[in-house]
Amino acid sequence: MKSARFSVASATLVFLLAAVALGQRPAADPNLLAAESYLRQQNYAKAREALDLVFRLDARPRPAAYLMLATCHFHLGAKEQAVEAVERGIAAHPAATDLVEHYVMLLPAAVGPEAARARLAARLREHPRSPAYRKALARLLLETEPAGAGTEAALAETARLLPRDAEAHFLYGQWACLNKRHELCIAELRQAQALAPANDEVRMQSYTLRAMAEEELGRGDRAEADFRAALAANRRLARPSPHAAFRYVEFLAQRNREAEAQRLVEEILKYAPDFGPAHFERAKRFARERRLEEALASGKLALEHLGGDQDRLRAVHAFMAKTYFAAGRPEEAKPHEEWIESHAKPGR
Amino acid sequence: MLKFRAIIFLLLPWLLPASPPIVFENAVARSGIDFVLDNSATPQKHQIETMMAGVAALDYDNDGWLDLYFANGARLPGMDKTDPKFANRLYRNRGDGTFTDVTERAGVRGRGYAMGVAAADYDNDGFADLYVTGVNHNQLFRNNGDGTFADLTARAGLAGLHPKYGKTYAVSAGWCDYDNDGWLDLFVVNYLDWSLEKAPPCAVKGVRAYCSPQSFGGQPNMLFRNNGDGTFADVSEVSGIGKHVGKGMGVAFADYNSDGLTDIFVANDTFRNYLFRNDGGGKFSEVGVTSGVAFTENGKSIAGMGADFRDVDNDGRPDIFVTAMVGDTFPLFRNLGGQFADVTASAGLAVPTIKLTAWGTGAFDFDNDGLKDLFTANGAILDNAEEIDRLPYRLPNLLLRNLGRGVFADVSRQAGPGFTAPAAHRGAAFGDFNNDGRIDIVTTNLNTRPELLVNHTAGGRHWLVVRLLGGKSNRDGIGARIKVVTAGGAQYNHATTSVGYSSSSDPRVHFGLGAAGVVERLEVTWPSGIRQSLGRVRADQILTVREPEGPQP
Repeated sequence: MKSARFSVASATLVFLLAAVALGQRPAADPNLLAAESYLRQQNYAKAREALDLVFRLDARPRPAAYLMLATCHFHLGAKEQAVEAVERGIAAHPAATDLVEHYVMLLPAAVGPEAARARLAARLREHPRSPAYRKALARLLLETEPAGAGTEAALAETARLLPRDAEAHFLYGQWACLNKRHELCIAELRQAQALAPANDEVRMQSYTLRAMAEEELGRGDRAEADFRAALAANRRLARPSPHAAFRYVEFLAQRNREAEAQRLVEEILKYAPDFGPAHFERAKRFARERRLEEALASGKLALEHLGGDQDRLRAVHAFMAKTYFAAGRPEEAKPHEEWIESHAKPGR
Repeated sequence: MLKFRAIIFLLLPWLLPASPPIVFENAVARSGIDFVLDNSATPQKHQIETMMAGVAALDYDNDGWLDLYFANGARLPGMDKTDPKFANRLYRNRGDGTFTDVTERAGVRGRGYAMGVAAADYDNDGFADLYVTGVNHNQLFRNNGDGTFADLTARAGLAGLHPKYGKTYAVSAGWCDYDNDGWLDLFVVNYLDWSLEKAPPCAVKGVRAYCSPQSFGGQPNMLFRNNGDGTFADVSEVSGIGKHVGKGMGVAFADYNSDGLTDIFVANDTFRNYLFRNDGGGKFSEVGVTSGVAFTENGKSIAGMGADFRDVDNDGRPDIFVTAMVGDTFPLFRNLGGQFADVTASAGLAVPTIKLTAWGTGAFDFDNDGLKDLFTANGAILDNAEEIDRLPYRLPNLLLRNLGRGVFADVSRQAGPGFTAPAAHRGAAFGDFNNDGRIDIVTTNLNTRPELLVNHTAGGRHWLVVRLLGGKSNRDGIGARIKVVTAGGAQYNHATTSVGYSSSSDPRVHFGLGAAGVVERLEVTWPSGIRQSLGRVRADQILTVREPEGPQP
């Protein structure tokens, strides 16, 4: 089960930091303006020089300055210094929640999950009422030790202490889904949705996970209703998720509802033309209809767009080998057979 | 008029007689079968403990009633059978629903940690023999014809030692005549490169548990050619079988491409399945990928367990059904004539199987309606699955009724309370134990008594059981293909004892005939190539068909 998240992925973290920092327009401090200009040019060394001047002239500049400095350090490889910069900002501006939010996002990427957990735990001891630290620690535990002994307790405690916080319930719900606690998963995700009713991203992710849990519980009708609700929310997003929609395709295919599954595949390919699994699904349909050349063409597209997903790659290579063979082109089947042979040994 | 027709059409389902449910009774309590499959469970949780064991349905004394032979474990770590509770057991069918333990007299206690059983008459003397697979050692018991067996393993050269791997871990075996010379050859399915001494301790989510097969390398299967003089030649390498290392579990035989040669399907555990196409001349090609049976349609290497290789859609081409573990679905590969299509979802099999783990399986017409149904013997792999995965260890079995048009329905809940009892089911053998024309089932259950599932399906449908007696072909007629034609249409089956997981079933060939009281035409294509045709065969009998000496006019 893919982990759905409220938080941004670490790959986009630095851009977000920079964007937020630049979004907080400082006063007309020429050095800060210069730093901003250099950041826009991605000239982090020059930006840092300008920020050094800012900090030399003002011992407690605006929060944006700390975030900009952290961004520079991060891009220049000084990750520990990036963390330190935000920590100094938090000390200088305890009420600046943005700084805390970005600190908890930056920490795992900068110092690694183990050290991040220790530092977040320390922060939480200092600020036991901080929802940001509590949720960050819970999120980190979910990501790094989903089956760990203390993870459930931390997530349950977070949801209990933050009963009106959608993300707290969303995190606990995800943990429950991953650990096959399906009823709990459904209940917590329902709570998260109730607390963030207008958030289509939350609705899409929660309904998808709930559908998967209902499916596990053998309640196909409820699973279907949830998949449909997820699809509706997904369609309202500026960038719909092909992964969530494809999960519904798999549900339909498993129930032999081929026509509905294929309609959804076509819809996915309209907004995500590079989504490999949908191309593969299309290829399988062509093969069933004995449209072998079209099947092979779609299979090729699937191979191009699957990236490093070894299981799906193997599936498509097996499909290609079989389809070339069926098309009377056994020579072209061989490279695909060889790929399978070279990527799977019955060893350890 | 139109309105009237429409009403009739709507009422049709109620006017037609409903199909009676397929019903089984677990009759083990009054059968006299007191066998307990003992895996010698240890705190170390050796991997072999969860893999055992099979059962054979054979008529060892030729009295017309199927007897039962159970493989059993051994005390760990020594793998010795000195304690009688670990003996393999032979039960003679008394013909009245009860069985007598004749193990000691027959001399088939066996040795070591046994896994599978394959029964057939390898020496063409008219008596069924036994081959028992196991960990480090396999055994051949030749039926002396007087109620006793002789251990001829060494003489036959069938101890299972591999020239490269040495001792093997053999799960299943099966008899087939791959070269159609009239002598049954032996295919041995080897599993993991495992030893008690070298196996690592394994844990799942921090809890001690049986190791996954992915903790070990695999082993190649072995093929032994019957020399016709009581000895066998290891032809694994020369045939091409031995060059494919897998993690074999179940084996099943059929001629999938109608070339008159027996092909071999092996279900591998967490590795792609193998289909060994018999190219003739003693050579095989592994064609699993290009034929479409190596993976599921989604490219998944399932945890293949048992298999049956039989025509389930009556198109004359044998299909393949494979059991697997929770999350896999149990694939049904429909034979399109040389290639296969994974029709699991369209057959309605994905939803009822995705949450199950199954071992033994068989495609038999349990309600005699002319359509082969599917049975799976279910049980989780880990005996602490509840603690680790929140999944039950003991599972009820699964019965899937063939509705025709390539669709199956889960009818397990209607099959009787004895059928739905959860247990750690493993092997299953099929046959008509009481000769009433309805296929019965025996399952092995870890650390408890087996289930003897006697078929009580009502409905009075007709049937035919064909007992083959080969002449030029092997005595059991294994590999013979049979076509029966009734007023209801044609259907197909073939003689094999190699069904499911580690087990061996009735060599007689069963047909459900539905409402047809007569078989208009019965055609047998013997392994020798001889074709035989019988007309106007009365239903509801066990028909013995002898192979003619030459082609019929």
